[in-house]
Amino acid sequence: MKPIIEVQNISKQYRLGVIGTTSIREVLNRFSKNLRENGPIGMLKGNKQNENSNDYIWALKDVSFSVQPGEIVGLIGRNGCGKSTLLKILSRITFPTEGRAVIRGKSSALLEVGTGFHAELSGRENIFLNGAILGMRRREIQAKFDAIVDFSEVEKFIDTPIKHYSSGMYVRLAFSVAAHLDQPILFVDEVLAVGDTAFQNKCINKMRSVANSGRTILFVSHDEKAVNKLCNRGVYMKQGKVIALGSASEMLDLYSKEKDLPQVA
Amino acid sequence: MRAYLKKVYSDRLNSTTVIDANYQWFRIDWVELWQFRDLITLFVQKEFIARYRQTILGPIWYIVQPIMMSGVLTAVFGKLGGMSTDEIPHLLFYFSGLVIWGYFSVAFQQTADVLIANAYIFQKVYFPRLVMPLSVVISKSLIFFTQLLVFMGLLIFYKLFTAAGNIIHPDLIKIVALTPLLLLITSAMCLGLGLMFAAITVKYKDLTHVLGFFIQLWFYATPVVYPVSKIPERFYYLTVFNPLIAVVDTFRHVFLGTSALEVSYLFVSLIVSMVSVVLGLMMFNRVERDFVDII
Repeated sequence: MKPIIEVQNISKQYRLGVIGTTSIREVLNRFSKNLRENGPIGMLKGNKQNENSNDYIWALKDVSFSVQPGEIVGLIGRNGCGKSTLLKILSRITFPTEGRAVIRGKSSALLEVGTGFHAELSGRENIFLNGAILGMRRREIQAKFDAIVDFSEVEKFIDTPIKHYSSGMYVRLAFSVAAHLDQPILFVDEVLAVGDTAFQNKCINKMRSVANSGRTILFVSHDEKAVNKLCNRGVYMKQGKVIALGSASEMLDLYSKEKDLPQVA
Repeated sequence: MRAYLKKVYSDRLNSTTVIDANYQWFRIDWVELWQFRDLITLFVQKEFIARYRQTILGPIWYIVQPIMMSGVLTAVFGKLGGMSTDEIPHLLFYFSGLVIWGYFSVAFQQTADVLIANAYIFQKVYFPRLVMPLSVVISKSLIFFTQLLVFMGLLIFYKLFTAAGNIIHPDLIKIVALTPLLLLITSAMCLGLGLMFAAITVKYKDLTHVLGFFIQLWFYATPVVYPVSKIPERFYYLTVFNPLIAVVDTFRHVFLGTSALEVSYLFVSLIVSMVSVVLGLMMFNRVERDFVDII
């Protein structure tokens, strides 16, 4: 069977410092420097090799792995290892600087819940808007509407503008929409559990049933327990590179060993 | 319903997305855009609901606003300034210009701001970025239609019940034939130009400061408060730079019976507006890949 996600040598470079807010003086300086070093023709060709490499950082470097249909893969690593950047690239929020990825099936990113919720709209209207933003068709949301409202436990307030919601009601509604997203591939970042303890358990159970229904999920979390419970494979990343691939528990062991080592500044 | 959900799901399994670093100048996934048509509808709805919830007059504001504005223009330019309106009753004359101008200026300004204003959504979720500017232009064009209806009501009133009725000569055939074309040119202009501004503003935020001033200048470069007949004929070639001149002039020609320009000017305007759409799409296409890293 062909892998459902194939990541091939993906790299992502970011520029350090304040981007885009160059002053006129800087623009002119860069222009004249470019002209002196490359000549007018080289400049037009966009020859940029002389730009200072200290101004850039590789958030991801040569990341490759593949995922089979139905696998729940946890991306494991410390803050700033490139997990979230990778999810953003795979969900097409931003593009890679180098490399290529093939995704066989529709995917959605759940990087936060309630994206695009509008305070003036009612809960009902927001369910439709948010669902469509996440990639659902209107008819599809209609079909799942009752289930979404049921899950969120806010049926009484469903026609009230959400600016009057408590923060708990807000996140419950937001999670419910996301949880009923019926995509073959999901990229999930830290939105696992919201609300009070009872609702958090409900969220985790929901996620597990989604995971068991044959979806493919790429999952980022700092909650090692959640990763261990949900994922059957792990990708261990460090400083923008894939260090190891294997079962989720192996990768977590590796991670906790390295984590305990004294950090070299 | 279950069968429908199953079909939706299996369609989703059968699509392949390739993400790569290579960039093409003109790569718009029309199929994908079509798949997100429900989202466009919902954004349009949101625009109307969110703006007029908790207001007493609600959508009636769309009608009151241009009437009030026409009143102001009548007082300032008509009565105080004594500017010519080609004999047309002041209110009708200014209203006719404002129907076009109001649509253009608002849709243009909001499209130009679309990436920055919605960055918080674009940073968290992917959908075809063009959905946003398209829903802006569609929702504003719906307002255009309501205002057009009000204008026609006003026109009928003036034609039947006032002495000025003899001067006004609406041409029904031309109205039906040319109004869609005028809407097309205007929409293409605000979409194309708006996308260009949106693309540049991502990197050079200076443009947000220039935009308001730019639109104000443009207002005076468009024959809203004066008739085209007041422009010296040797400047007519400038309509190339501002397709709205021909649009407003033709609009008045079909509804009121005044005109100064020949049809060829409208044709040139159509071409200019189409070029602006293509350019706008190209520039937007260029930045939409990774503007979230910059913004």
